[in-house]
Formats: sequence, C-alpha cells, structure tokens
Amino acid sequence: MKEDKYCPNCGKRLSFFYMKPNCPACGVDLLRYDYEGRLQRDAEQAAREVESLWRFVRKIDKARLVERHCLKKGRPLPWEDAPAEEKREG
Amino acid sequence: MEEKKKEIRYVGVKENLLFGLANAGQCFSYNMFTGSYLSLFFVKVFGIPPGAVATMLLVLGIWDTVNDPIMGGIVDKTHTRYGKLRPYLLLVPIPLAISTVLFWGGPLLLQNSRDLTLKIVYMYVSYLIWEFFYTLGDVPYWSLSAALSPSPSDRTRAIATARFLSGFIGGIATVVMLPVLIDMSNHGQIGWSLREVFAVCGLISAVFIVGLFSLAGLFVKERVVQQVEETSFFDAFRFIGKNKPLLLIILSNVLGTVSSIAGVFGAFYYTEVLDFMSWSSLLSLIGGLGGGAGMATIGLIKKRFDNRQLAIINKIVPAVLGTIAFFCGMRHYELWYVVIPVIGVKNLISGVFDAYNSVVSTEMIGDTVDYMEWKTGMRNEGMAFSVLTFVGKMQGRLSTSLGTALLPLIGYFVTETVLPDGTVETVSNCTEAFGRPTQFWLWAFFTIVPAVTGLLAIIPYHFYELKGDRLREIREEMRLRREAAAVTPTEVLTDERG
Repeated sequence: MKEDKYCPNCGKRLSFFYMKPNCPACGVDLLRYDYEGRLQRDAEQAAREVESLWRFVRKIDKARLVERHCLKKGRPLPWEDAPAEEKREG
Repeated sequence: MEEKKKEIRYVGVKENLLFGLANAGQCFSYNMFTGSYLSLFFVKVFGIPPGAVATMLLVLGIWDTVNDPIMGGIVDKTHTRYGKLRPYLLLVPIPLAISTVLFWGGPLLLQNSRDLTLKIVYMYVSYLIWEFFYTLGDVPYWSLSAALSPSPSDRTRAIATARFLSGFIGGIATVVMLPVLIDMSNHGQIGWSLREVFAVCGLISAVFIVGLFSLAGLFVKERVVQQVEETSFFDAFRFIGKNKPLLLIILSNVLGTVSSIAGVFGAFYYTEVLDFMSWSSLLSLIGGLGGGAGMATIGLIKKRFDNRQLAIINKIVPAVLGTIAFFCGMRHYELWYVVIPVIGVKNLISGVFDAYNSVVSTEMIGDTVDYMEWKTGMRNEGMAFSVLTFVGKMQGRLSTSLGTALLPLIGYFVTETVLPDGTVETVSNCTEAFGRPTQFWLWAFFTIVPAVTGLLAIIPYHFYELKGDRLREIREEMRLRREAAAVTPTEVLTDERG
C-alpha cells in the first residue's frame, strides 16, 4: 500500500522490509500517528467506494429491481438521500 | 419513528473483496487437507496403513492444539509498523505454497519405494512443515477480521465475504477439481495415476496461495490500534482462562468433534459404494447454492436471532437432516437414484445453515475479544483467533484420525501389489462388520452418527452470556472508552523524547 512506503510525518521513504514500529528519521510511531485522521479518511474512501458501487448497480439494473424493492419496503434508495416515501408521494 | 444510529463504515468495497479473495486462496489449499481427501490420500494413494495414518493425525493434532495458541501469543507480542498481523500475512504465502507442493507430491516422489518407514517419515515431516506455515498465516488472517475495523458491521461484512468467496472459489478444489480428476483417473479417461492427480492439484493450490492469499497482507489494513502496554507471552494464555465466553465456545466445538467424521466417510462412501466421486461435486454445488442463499439472508436472520441462538439452531438442523437422510437410505444406500436426491435436499438445507454458522462462529470470537478488552483493557485477537483455528483444526484432525481408525473396524482394508514396471499399486477391499456390509457402515457414519453426536455441542451455549442487550451495553461502553482514549501519538513521543 502507498501509505506503507513513506513516513506520514517526515516523508522518509521506508523499505518494505523495515519492520520497526518507529520511523528511523523522526521516531514517530508509524502505526498510531494521526490515527483518528486516518480512520476518518478511510471512512470517506469507503463511502466513496460504496456510492460508486451503487451507481454502477443502478446503471446495470435495467429492470429497476433495487428501486422497486426499496419503494416496496419504504427504504431510501441507496444512491440518493431522499427517502422512498417522498418519491411515492411525489 | 426511532432513528437508527448508522455505524460508520471504514472498510471499502475493494478492501472487503480482497480480504475475501485472500481467504479463497487459503481455503483452496486447506480444503484438500480436510478429512474428506486426506484419509483417502494417505490410505489409498500413498499406501500407508490406516492405523499409522490415524496415529499421525492424532499426534500432529495434539501438536496443533499446542502450536495455535503459541502462535496466537507470538502474534499478540508482535509490534511492527504494519501492525501485529500483517507481517505474517506478507511472509507466509511463498513457503506455504512450496510445502503444499511437496506434501501432495509425496506419493509421486516415492512411487518406486516399498519402504513403509520412509513413507511414514515423509508423511510426518511434510505434514508438520505444511501445518507450521499454515498456522503462521491462518491465525493472523482470522485475527485480522477483528482488527480491520472498530465497526462490528464492517467485521460481519468482511467475514461474510471471506466465507462466501472461500466457499465458492476455495471449494473448486474439493467440489470440482479433485472429484472429477479422481473419477477420470479411476475410469482411465486421462493417462494420470491418482498420485499424479494429487500432485497436480497440489501445484494448482500453490498457485492460488501465492496469487490470492498474499492479498490480505498487501492490501488489508489493521485499524484497531493495539494497547501500548505490552502483555507478557504467558499473560495471553492467562487471559484465555479468564475469557469465559471463549472457553464455552471451545468446549462446544470439542463436544462437536465426532460430527466432523462425515467428511472422512463421505469420500469413502462415494468412491467405494457409489463408485463415482463426482457425485460429491454435484452435491457440494447444491450445498453451495444453499450457502449462497444463506449468505444472502444472513442480514435478515441476524435481525431476528442473535449469535448464540443461531449457533444452537446450527447444531439442531444438521442433526435432524442427517437422521432423516439415514432412514431414507437405510435399505437403498447402494442405489444412487435414491441416495443422491436425499443427500441433495439435505445439503441444500444444510448449506444455508452452514453459511450462517461460518459467519456467526467467527463473529462470536470477535465478540469475546471485545469482551476481554472491556473486562481487562487488553485485546488479544491473536490468542483468541488462534483458539478458533486450533479448535477447527483439532476437530478436523481428531475426526479424521477417529474416522480413519474406524475403517478397519467396519471391514475396510487396503492391500499392495507390485506392477511389472516396478511401481506399487494399492487396492481397497470392502468386507463386512457386525453382520452388516462395510458399505452400510459407510452410509451410517456419513449420515446419522455425525448428526446425533453433534447435538452435544449445544450444552455449553446454555451458559453463554454475550447476547442481546448485554453485548450492546459492552460495545457502547467500548466505543465511549476508545473515543476518550484517542490521543495524537506524536504528542506522547515528543514528551518522551523531551
């Protein structure tokens, strides 16, 4: 992974075989550095991938099976924020 | 209307898929080692007496029970920049692939040898080496299911993906590849002996290991940060002793060991009674359809039942199905047009519950890891998941050992003849035992015996406390503790460095 190649603090390039938990240049704990920030970025990346997947599903679902299922169950469509009830009333 | 608090998702679609594909690669190899083919391989292909095989499986099964928790303890003591699990997942694929090839290629390498001692030594050494590398990868892999995200729904999704893909892709070895090649070899449709069939299959599974199993180490992150305070190696073992829910799970799996002999007797039943190993492919595919239905419905089922309830249901349903199947085929076990539909229906329904069980059992281990962190402040994924792998392997080894040891008792024997070209050919013979033909006992041990004995595994769940509101309270408290404990590591280090 890209984030394994460089120290997130000082940017020093790290060898694949370098296993120690601290950066050899700045000494920062490589596993715990900016832990919350990385979690936040992972959550955003995951949300983007899920959104992208649902857009792809919407594209190939010509029979609109997903949309019909969501409307029937009263659930929001996975690719929109608007809940299904508003669509039905509309 | 109640507002449902939505859990944050940290593991994306790609990473989830790669985690699952890694398990598929691992299982492609491992499935060949489970009871169904291992016993057949040693007894019929390698020509080793059943007693020696049963002893080896028992001895190495005991070694397995020891080295899995040891590996778990080592993993929990590991601190690298990749985490404590990923280094092993990066290191293991290549040596595991090499040891897999050497294991399954054994009969081919020693085909001109009549030295039984040499064969037995080779069997022990190659199996030990394979098992060492497999454990080195398996314990960290399943531990990663608890460490890849603090979100329980992420873990469920990852485990379900892994189980689905391993059942689908990983099952190709035992569902399609091996049975079809064995039948084609036995009926002279390909110019390969069974030795060559297993050697080629070993080579193919090595490719899957390197190509797929390595994905976990390369692309899956550890996101649950381990505690800074180090635990001693023996603390990890002590924590297992304090983890009552985990001990109950272990006990349940131990009590359910005999139910796993169905795999051993299944392989012998298809080859010796129906003379068509490929039936197992068809029936496994049917089971796979059930498994797919199970994976598709697990979200709905988990809304209705908690993990403990599902674990109990997963013991009762196979017991009922196995019993019904036995009585349906009791007088007609040699007629494929009677037994195949019966086993097909049984497999279809069992497949659904096997899918639930595969997710639930792994999740329950993760629950016990959370429980221990809540109780003691220490997370021991390595040790806890080593218990999962150790119990699974112990069940497999003990059941294979027991099943293999039972073969002579039900009248099954193997003899050796030397062919004109100098190679040694093994021939199997079915006789009778206790007034019934061997074939009847193969049917019984394939259906009703494992079914009924599996019910013993329910008893420990009566005392299991991680369920419903209790589990929700623990998780909520853990979430609050993690939020309170989050600090920027550089601030800590700056203070330490002055």
